[in-house]
Amino acid sequence: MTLHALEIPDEPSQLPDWLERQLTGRDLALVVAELAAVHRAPASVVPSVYDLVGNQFDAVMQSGLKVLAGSVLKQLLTQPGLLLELQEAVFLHGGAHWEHRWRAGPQIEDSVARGRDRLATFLASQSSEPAADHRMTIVFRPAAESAAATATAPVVAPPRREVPWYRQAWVASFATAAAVLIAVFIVEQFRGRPDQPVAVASAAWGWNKPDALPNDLPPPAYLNALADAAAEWFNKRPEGPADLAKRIAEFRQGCSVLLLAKHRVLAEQDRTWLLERCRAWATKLDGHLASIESGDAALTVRAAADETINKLIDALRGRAKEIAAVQDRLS
Amino acid sequence: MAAESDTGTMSDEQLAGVIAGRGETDEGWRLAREACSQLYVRHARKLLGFLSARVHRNDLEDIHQAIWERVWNHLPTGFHGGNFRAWLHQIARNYIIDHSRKKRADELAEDYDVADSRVGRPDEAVVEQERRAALSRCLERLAESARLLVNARLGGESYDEICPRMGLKMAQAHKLFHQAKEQLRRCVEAESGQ
Repeated sequence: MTLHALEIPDEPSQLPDWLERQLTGRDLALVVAELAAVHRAPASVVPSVYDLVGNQFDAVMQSGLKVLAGSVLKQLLTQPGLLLELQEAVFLHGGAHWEHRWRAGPQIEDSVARGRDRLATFLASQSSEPAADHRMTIVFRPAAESAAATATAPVVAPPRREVPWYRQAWVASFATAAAVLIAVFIVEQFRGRPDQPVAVASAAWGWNKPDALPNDLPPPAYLNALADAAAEWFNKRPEGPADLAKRIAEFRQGCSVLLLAKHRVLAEQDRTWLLERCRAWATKLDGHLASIESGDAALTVRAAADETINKLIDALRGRAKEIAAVQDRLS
Repeated sequence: MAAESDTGTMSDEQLAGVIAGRGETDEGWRLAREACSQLYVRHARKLLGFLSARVHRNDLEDIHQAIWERVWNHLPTGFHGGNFRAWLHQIARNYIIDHSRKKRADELAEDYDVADSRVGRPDEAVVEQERRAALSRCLERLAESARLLVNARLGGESYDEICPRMGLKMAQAHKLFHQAKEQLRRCVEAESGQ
């Protein structure tokens, strides 16, 4: 048995290299667990990795950890949850240096090779023709079996049995669609206000609303609109764990909307700023969700989520002010 | 399934576009398969690394496979341009969350221990929890000087920083750390029943 964290190098100069190997290796979770056992819970609020690395973030993504000061590396060790965040950031933004790291690590090479075979088999089973019952079905073996069976041909299952028409998927889809249309029709009849939307999905608030990202506004107004949408968090104050988890998950879903949007009205540096901040907020929200799911008191978690969301609202409004000030100076 | 050179020179987003727009012709599908293989070559390692820190080792390869199948199936309707890597990350994250919820439902159905936080925290599997708990207990059993030394070394401090503070000579500190390491390894092995 290896206690991975205890293999930390004696020489501080070798620490960046060692940490990079952990970040791109297969045992990061164990390293994090071991470091967490040694350092216990930090007394102060843990910053996000984006806060910790600050304006060296891009350099780290391009050149690796050697650009960081020893004090920053020490914080990664004493607050090991940051290593998971950093690994996620490297997955998203790591450049050539990290690509080299991923490729140099021998630990996951077997899994990569098995995955390649399995994907090839899956893709071979995909066809431009619509699925039909007479087509053969490729059955994948579980990973444990496939390790021993990579050289063997995929198992070919017998043709599926004839399914009665009333149990086929298209019938169910058609029936569902028909039911929805009927329901909409009935609702419209009784509402008497056909110009209003019929119903809004429970998650259609905040950044999930269809009009939450108003691309026709100037940048400061755009960021303020994002802040206003985020403030809708406070419109509901769930007190039970299930309701709170749902509310946090909905807000987190909004972060995905923001992360995947183009934000065309923003200049490149503001867009980069927004995405970096958004990733940090998403990580915080994931943490709150994990807390509520692991049994922490709902009101305590809600207070922590309130704080996160207040901070992100302040950050958005602050950035809006900065952009407006620059625009004023230029005009 | 080596990808051909025309897909090899495309950006991730172009490859994603080829998969998304595969249409109904055999040629479109052939190119889409090549594009998917090329994306796999580029991103499988980092995706496996990301997943290995977040899912149980026994589930790793099945989850990895399922995510690539989702990529293939969802690209035509779910990818709207932009950064493919960010989209892949979202697919992976969502899959981990779905998997964790499903596992929780299954385990509740099988009357597992509800207090086991692994079911609610996809980022901390039971193996890591056990390692953490065992190591915590074993650290308690170390002599104070050894515990402080382990704490300092695993906090990134060098022997040059540690020795003057702890009043140790360099050779003494090295020996003490080596002994502490051995003791911890044996203790954690015993605690884990290995």
